[in-house]
Amino acid sequence: MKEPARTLAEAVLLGAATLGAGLVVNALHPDGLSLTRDHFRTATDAPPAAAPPDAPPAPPGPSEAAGVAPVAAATGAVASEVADRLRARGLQVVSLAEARAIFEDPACAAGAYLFIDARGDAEYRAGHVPGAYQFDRYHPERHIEALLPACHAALKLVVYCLGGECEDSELATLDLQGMGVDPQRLQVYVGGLAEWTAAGLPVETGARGGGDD
Amino acid sequence: MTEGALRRLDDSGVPLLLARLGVGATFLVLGGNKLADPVAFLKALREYDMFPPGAPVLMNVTAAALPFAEVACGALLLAGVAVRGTALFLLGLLAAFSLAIHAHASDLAAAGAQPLCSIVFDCGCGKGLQNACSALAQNAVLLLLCLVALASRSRRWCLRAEWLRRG
Repeated sequence: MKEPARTLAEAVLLGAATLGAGLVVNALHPDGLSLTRDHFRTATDAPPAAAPPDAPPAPPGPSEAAGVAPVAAATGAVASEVADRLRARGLQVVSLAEARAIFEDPACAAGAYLFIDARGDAEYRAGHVPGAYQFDRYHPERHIEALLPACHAALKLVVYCLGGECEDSELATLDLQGMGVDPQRLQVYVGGLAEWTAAGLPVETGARGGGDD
Repeated sequence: MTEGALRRLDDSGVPLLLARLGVGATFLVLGGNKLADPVAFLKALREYDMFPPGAPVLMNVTAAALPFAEVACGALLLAGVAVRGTALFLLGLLAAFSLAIHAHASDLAAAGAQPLCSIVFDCGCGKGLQNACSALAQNAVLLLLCLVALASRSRRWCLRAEWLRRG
């Protein structure tokens, strides 16, 4: 290799230039990340106050669960582990049957019960529980203005993401708690949209209320 | 193969061209996938636990800046501009992430008492869920191609500064 020092200098300069340009692109990107926000910390990150003293120890988090595909694991042992972890954090969990009952309750159509989809734009538009509000917690500023008044007015809120080991519903629920939404009204549907669609339940595509079932 | 034969092969420009095309196209496509979904890449990075807790900016900056850097480096290699510097930069990236993938997959394998090659996870490589051994093998091939680009003395089929000046 000729001129190793020059090559090294070229690599360093090139790395700095492309990474710097990457930050500019991120700033212009419609889905760009906030650089200063701790995206995985919620306003309610604290010891699980609602967990009973004899609650089982929290099962391993997603990063510790070995090699299980999130969608494939939407049911069974993994879903049960996730539900246990959520309960240990003081969160309420609903099953498919309970989520379905809430959806089919006339109170849902009246806006007293809400579904909240914690996934990103593309996933939400591809299919969500009919009437569900979107709350992409990585870009909360896009949704919070419409979502928070609806949350405060609702009696029951069911938050979901894809299901299985997807953490977004859990983090979004904690975010909403931190924004003052009554924790007693918030419930996490662990099975998520993967389980919902697998059960043949209705899905709406496009924007909320688009009616494109 | 003798040194002379290796030199003739290198002078033909074919090894460098193959290395540039292979690495350049791969980074262009996979970097583009990450660029399209920065949040997915951020989530994948988080799984490695390679950033100090309480310093989210470092992880955010990496997730925000790296995808475009990969796309840019892929384009530079395909064009044949700053080949050695680009190859060295990508070599460093690949080495660091290969070690991280191996460490994380080993942890997952140990936690689940499974063999390493049965582990499937999103390594942040731009392909979504992927088998750990397949990701490591892919990185090994890319590392080898980067070494070829770094060591090659040929500049055949590379965009040269003189050509740009000539217009």
